[in-house]
Amino acid sequence: MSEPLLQLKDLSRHFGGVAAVEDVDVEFEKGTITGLIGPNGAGKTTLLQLISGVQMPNGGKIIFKGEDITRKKAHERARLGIGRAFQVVQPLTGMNVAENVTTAALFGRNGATRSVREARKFGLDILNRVGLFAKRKNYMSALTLADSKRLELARALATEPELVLLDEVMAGLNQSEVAMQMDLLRSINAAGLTMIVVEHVMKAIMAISDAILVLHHGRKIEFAPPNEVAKNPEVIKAYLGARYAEPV
Amino acid sequence: MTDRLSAHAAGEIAGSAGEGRSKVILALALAGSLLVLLIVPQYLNSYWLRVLTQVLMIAALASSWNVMAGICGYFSFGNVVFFGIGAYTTAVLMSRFDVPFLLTIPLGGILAAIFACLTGLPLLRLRGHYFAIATLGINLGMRETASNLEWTGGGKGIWLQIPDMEPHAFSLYVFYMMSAMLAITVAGVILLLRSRAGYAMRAIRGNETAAAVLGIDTTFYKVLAFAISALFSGMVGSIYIFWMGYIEPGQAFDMSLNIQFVMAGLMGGLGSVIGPLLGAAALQLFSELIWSHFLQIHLAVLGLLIILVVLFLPNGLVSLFSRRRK
Repeated sequence: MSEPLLQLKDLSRHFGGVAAVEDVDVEFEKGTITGLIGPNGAGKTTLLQLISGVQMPNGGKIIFKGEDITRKKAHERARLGIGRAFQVVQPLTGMNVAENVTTAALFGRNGATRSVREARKFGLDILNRVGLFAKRKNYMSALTLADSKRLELARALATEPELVLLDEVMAGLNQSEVAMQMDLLRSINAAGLTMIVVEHVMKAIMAISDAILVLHHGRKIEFAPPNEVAKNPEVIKAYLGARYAEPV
Repeated sequence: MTDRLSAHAAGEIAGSAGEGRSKVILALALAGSLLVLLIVPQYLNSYWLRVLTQVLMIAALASSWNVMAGICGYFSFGNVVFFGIGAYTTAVLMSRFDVPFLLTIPLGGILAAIFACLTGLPLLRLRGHYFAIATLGINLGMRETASNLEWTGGGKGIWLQIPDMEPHAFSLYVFYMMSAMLAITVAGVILLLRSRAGYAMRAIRGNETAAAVLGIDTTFYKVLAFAISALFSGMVGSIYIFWMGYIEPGQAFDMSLNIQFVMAGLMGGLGSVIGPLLGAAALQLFSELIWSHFLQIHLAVLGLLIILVVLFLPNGLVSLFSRRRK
């Protein structure tokens, strides 16, 4: 079997006495979509913070494409090919939609090889793909929530990642928007991109994921294909509530 | 699908000709004002030359400050320290080593930029307000240093030899030097905004965490912005000492000058090219007018005006002319 794209080895992050992430040990295969689920405060976002380098772990290792990146800074990881869309949208305020993706295309994995003009063209192509082209001149204050989530995704894609971390890119969207977003994720994945997706919309995540990682109190309690995870009593107890764990 | 989107994108690039047109208008306006600046001064008396030189100087300092505060989003409240370093570089080189004035200008800028890198590297690892406070401290520290060193003349300062020029010719010379300096600064800001570094700095201002995750080395670009800001400020300082003929620590590292160009930047509008220029012109000319009409309370009247601008035009005077930033 080929080497996994990303390996987390006993990864831990503590805030004072609280363990947000504790000894998480997982391997993510290239080209897969992994759903990351768990109750609020389970450590999902913290895990993404650690992988993208926004926060540093207290213990353990992160191996990306065979290279130890545990001590690398966020911008270095972005250049290596780790992209990220935030749960709470993090627009570059004061820059319009087109400038947001242009910036990503200028500094992402192949950014150094592009001129500003080339980066702009590349960014506009991506805006077209996610359905934001018509709003390319808008500033953030003029975007709906659905559009700013789309921009978050577009910007992550414009860095041309090999691994993209998506934190609740569907939260707050209506049914048809969720369906559109899912189609989009599938088509991106079909292009070979590996994804780790945090999501509370269970129907969506179970449908698109190849594997599900379940966190609870910062620990991994399950890592398996969706149909197995759905049957695991421990997962049902932790995530859906004990009541649902009892056989009907 | 690919065909359709490249057609769109091609249309977009063609569409940017509209933006190009407004840039042409801006360029024409700049060229026009430059022409006026070149011709009119010949007919001005020394008093008005002096006022206009001061306007140009504040405009250049406000533009330099704008690189750090407006484009990169980091408020440096002690930017006058670079002005002071430039001024002292010229003063020491001219008075002690007989270096020609024109040569000392770039040296003053470069020394200020190096100083910005040395102080920026540790300071700019931090985010947010600590930086603003630290720059204040650095300026005070440099002022004390200049007061206590022997080769800077200590508290007595340094006198330059009076240049061998007729007074009005000298005023004109300084005026043109300052005009050229402002033009260099503005050209630098325009080029910066279109460059890769400009995108990085604006992204840092917009959202530093997001900028890092997009692959931007935030510390590097913050230090670069600080150094560019210092380079231009230092060169202005060099010209200033040549103009005054005398420098002492209180005048080189003068907080009230710092406040003037910060106010000019805020009044005009940060982040844009013309904002600081508008602000400097408005502030200096207003304060000149007010001073001549309300001698006793001119600061109060000026303060009131500034409050009005901040209240009704929070994005500065530049927002009167542009619909861009919402």
